[in-house]
Amino acid sequence: MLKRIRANVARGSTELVILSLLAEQPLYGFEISRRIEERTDGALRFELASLYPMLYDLERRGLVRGQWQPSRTGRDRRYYSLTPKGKTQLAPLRREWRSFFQALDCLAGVSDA
Amino acid sequence: MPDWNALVRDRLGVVDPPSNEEEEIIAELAGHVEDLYEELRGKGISDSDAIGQAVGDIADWHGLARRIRKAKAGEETMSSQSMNHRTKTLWLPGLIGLTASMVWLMILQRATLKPTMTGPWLHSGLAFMPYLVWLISQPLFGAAGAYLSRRAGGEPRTELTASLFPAIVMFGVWWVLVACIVVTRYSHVSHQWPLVFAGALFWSILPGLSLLLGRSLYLRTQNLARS
Repeated sequence: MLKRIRANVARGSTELVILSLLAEQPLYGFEISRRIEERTDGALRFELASLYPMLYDLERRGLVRGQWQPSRTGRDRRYYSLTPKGKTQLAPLRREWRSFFQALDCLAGVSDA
Repeated sequence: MPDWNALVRDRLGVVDPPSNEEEEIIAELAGHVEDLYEELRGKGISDSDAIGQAVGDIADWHGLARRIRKAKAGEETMSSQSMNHRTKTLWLPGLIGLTASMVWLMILQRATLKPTMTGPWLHSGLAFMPYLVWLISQPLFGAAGAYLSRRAGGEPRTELTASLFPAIVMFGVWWVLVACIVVTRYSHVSHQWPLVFAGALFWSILPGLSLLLGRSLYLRTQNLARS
């Protein structure tokens, strides 16, 4: 049961992170993983093995769209962007996580004073 | 610099020719590994170490292939997909190996020695010939099971089980037979345990080792061809 909750939390947080980044601008897989690492000072690290299955899942659900485009280095890379459905989904997802952290804070005092 | 696409395709165990969707996935993952390699090279890491680290970033390529398949198929069809996958990677190669092995044994038995035959050479151990020929040919079936399983994208453990399938079934059948005899006519086996174990050795353990040899030879050939 605990393992399932952990897996759901990890999955939900990954989804939020990716959708939030793509809401700013279209990015390809490697950029997404590096952007996450930079923004969190290395606290979060997404490896290829967890990133791409998640991207394909989001794409299947119609939340993101992948398109091949030349990257800044000149090579073709698959850029992911948020679809209208993904944009609609992001706001409630953020609210859900905010409530979750507030509830967690009330119970365990996890945020900084 | 290596051919990143070929490298990723080999590790994911994609069967040639890949579908359009598979080609896209391979190209995308290859691009990621290439970016990682160039990042490492930029940090001053040697070429061979950078390749090793970039590829080694994924510990379990078969696990990744499985997760991608699940992500593409979706949760609702996940169970049927995994069932199809198991059928293709385990049951089909295993049953093909078992059927081929048993048919071959039947042919050898029917085509060679018969109880009605006469001649002094029958007492010279030639009666074992069909069995020996069958045993020596088992590596072919072990290699075939491993090949069919790998071709369908089977993970190493599934591939091993598929190649050993004939021996596993024989092992099960042998002990079921022994259990039935023990239950119905215990006196028949109570003094013959060495023969019971010899039966397991000749019909399951030795063929299993022979199948395993075939699988190892097949994997070695594959690795040599890849390098």
